[in-house]
Amino acid sequence: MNSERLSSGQVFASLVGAGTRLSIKTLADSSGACLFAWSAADPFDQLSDAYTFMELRRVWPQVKDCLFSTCRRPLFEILADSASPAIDLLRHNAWMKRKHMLETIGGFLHPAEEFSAPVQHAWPFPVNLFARTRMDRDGVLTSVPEVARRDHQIQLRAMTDLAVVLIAASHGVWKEAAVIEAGLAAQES
Amino acid sequence: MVELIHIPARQAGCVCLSKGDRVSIIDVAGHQGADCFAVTPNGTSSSSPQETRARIGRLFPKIGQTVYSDEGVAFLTLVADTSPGPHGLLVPPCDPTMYRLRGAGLAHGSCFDNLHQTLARYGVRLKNTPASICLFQNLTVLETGEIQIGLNQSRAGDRVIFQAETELLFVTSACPNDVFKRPPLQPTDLILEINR
Repeated sequence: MNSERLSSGQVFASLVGAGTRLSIKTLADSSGACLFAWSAADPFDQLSDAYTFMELRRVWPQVKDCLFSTCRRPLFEILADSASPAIDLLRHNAWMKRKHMLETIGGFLHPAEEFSAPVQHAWPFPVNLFARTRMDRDGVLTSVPEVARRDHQIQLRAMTDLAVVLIAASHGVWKEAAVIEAGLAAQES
Repeated sequence: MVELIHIPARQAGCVCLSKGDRVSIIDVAGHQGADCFAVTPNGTSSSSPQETRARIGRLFPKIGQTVYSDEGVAFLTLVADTSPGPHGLLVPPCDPTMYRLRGAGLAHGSCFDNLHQTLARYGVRLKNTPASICLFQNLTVLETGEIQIGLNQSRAGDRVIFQAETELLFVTSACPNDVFKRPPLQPTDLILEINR
C-alpha cells in the first residue's frame, strides 16, 4: 500500500482508479480528515452530503453503504469504519471552517497541472471522517467530541475513477505531529 | 406594495428581492412541496443548507433564525410559518436522474430543471446545484438516523414567510414529484406574495 502521513492542515490529493481502496487511519486521538471527491472525468460530479442522504435515506452512513455524488452515482463504498458511525455528513465544519478549508486547498492544489477540479467558489462541502453529529427530536445538532482514538480506521472503495482530496485535521494535537495516515491500495484481482 | 406571483403546479417562479423585502410562499391546495433557492444576482453565491445547518446547529431554522449562503452570508430570515411543518434542509432538488432511476421516464419535470431554467432567464448560470430549502416537505429523521419522507402535512393556505437580508434572486419550484406521493395527490400550485 502506498501511504502518506499527514499533520493537521496537510493535504493529500490523488487520482484513484475504480476499485482502489482508500484507507485513512488515525495516528492520534481526536484526529480525522475532511474528504472531497469527484469524478475524474467531471469535476461537477461531486461527493455530496445531500445526495447521499437522499439515496441512502439515512443520515449516518454505515459499512456497506455507498456515498453518492451530485449525479446520484455511488462514488465510494464504505468497507470499514472502526469508530462507527464516524463518517459525518451533517455538519460540514466538524473539523474546520469553510474559509480556512478553502485557503488550505487554494494554497496546495494546482489542479490544472494534475487533474480537473471544481472552481474554488463552487468547491463542494466536505464529508468529515472520524467525526459525528448527534441530533435530538427537535432537530438540534450536537457534535460528538473525540470520536476517534489512535489507530481507528476508515476504508473506502472507489466505485469509479475519482479525484480525491483529504485535509488532515485534529483538535489539540501538536501542529507538526502526524495525525492521520492516508493510503491507497490497488484493486485486488 | 404587495406583489403576487402565481406558480402553476410543476413549474417555478422567481422574484428579485431587496434587503428587507418579505416573501411568503403559500401552499394553495395543501400537501404541496416548495423547493426554494436564493442566489445573488450575479450567481456567484447561493443559499446553502449545509452552511445553514452548521451555523444554526439545527436541521431547519426556527422563527427568527437565518438561512445562510455557501459563503456564510445571511440571506433569508424565517419570519413566520403557519404550517404544521416539518421542512427540510437535507436533500437535493429532484432531478431528471432521480425520476429516471425510479422508473418515471426520461422527460419528467424536476425542481433541478426548474431552478436552472428559471435562473437562465435572468442570465444566471450556476456552477453547481444548491441543495433545496424544502418547504412543507414531510421529512423526518428518526433516532436511528433513518430518513422518512411522508405525505406533506401542509394545509390549503399555509404559508412560510422569509425576509431578505440582502439583494437576492429567490426561486421557488412547485415540486413536480408525483412518484413518492400517494395517489390520488398530484402536484398543485403555489403563490409567492412579496411585501416590499
